[in-house]
Amino acid sequence: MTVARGLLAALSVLLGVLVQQTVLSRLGLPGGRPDLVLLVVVAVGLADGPGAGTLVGFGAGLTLDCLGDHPIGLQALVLCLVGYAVGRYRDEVDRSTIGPLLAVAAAAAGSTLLFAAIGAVLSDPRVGWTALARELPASVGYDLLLAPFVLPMVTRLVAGSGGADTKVAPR
Amino acid sequence: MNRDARRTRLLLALLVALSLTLVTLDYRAGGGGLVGKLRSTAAAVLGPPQRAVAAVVHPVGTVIGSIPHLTGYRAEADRLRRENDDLRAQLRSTGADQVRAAELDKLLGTAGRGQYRVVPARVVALGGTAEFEWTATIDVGSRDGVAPDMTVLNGDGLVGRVKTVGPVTAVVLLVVDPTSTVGARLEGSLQLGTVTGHGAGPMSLQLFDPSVKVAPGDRLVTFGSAGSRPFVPGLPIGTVRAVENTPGALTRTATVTPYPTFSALDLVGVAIEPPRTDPRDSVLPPRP
Repeated sequence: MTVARGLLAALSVLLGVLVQQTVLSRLGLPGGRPDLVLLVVVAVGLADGPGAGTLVGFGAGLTLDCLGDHPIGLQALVLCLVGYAVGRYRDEVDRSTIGPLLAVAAAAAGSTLLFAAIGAVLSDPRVGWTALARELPASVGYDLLLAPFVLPMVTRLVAGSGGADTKVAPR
Repeated sequence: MNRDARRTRLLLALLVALSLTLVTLDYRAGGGGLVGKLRSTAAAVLGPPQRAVAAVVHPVGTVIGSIPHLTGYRAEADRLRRENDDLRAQLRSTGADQVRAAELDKLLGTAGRGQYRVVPARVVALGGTAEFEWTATIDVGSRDGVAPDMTVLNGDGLVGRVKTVGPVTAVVLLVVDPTSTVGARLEGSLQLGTVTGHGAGPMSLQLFDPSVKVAPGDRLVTFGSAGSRPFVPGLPIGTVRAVENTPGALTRTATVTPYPTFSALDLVGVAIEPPRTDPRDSVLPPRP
């Protein structure tokens, strides 16, 4: 991952955070809302591999942690694991056309469950079965809906700026 | 390749350890210390862009909502249609302005009745940055005199309390968040209890005295905290929806419908100065 690509990845994360908070959260969608930042992390993992996915996931998570009201480090932990896992299995994902969508679904479900599990360990009153039953299908569904638009955009932005390990770059 | 994989795994292990350390530190410090500083830095850096994006998004949303799909070919028809849309969008945003003015009127009315000194603010980001979290970011901060643990209200009643403050933004913990608990008093009595949030579901009320008679429709106001932080006294919280009868329980529980609509928060106020005397029930709207 070159410096330019790192900067572009950071830029997409920042844009993701801002749009997520100011636009998507205000739409008042029933059940939950799409997780734009997760999609950016998945896209970077698919395009640039596990190392970049881990780093970008950690950075994105830490940004979200600082702006929210949960213990700092939670989202960083969840998203760096997501970035790593997606990057690790990207060769398998590449083989089929619906691969990226499956990766998004797995990442959305996995991150929600992991977040809930850590919350349960910390005995967070916010996490419960009713909250989970509402959030899980909503986050997977909305993320899948947004994925066809967000994934190519981030991939082109990050991978299109050159670098040797381009894998999913269009061209 | 192999060495690459090992390096990546090492990086992952490092970052996982780092985030676990941060979680532990934050949990122990309870929002202060190094992690607290991290939070206020993030608020200082990201607050201005948050406000900017929100300012851009507000009018654009109004315009987008009013533009139908343009499918005509003729340039003249297009031009006329666009002009029409512009005019319609203008009309609509005038409507939005009127709604906002009415909201501000209501907020100032509430603040006036309770003698709270408020700083009006707009919600720039709604919904927390993590799932299961009920927070909002507003466009006032320490420069406007806002500090942590101040009460946030709107024209309808209690909204929440300020958690983190940046120079131009602040994060508000909404009363519907499951970690939020407010001391409450039944209208017209001295009966006290606590109101706890349950996210999208109704809030729950626990009255300390199990023999108290509560009925659906009874109204609740804040009891007020020591020094009016985090909650000023007398703010309307909500109405009792249903009373649960659990014989032998040590407290009496009921479900409560909050006054504000939390999915559509826009104009709120931060009570930067508490009232000199408890306004009792005078802030509640007159009974219909």
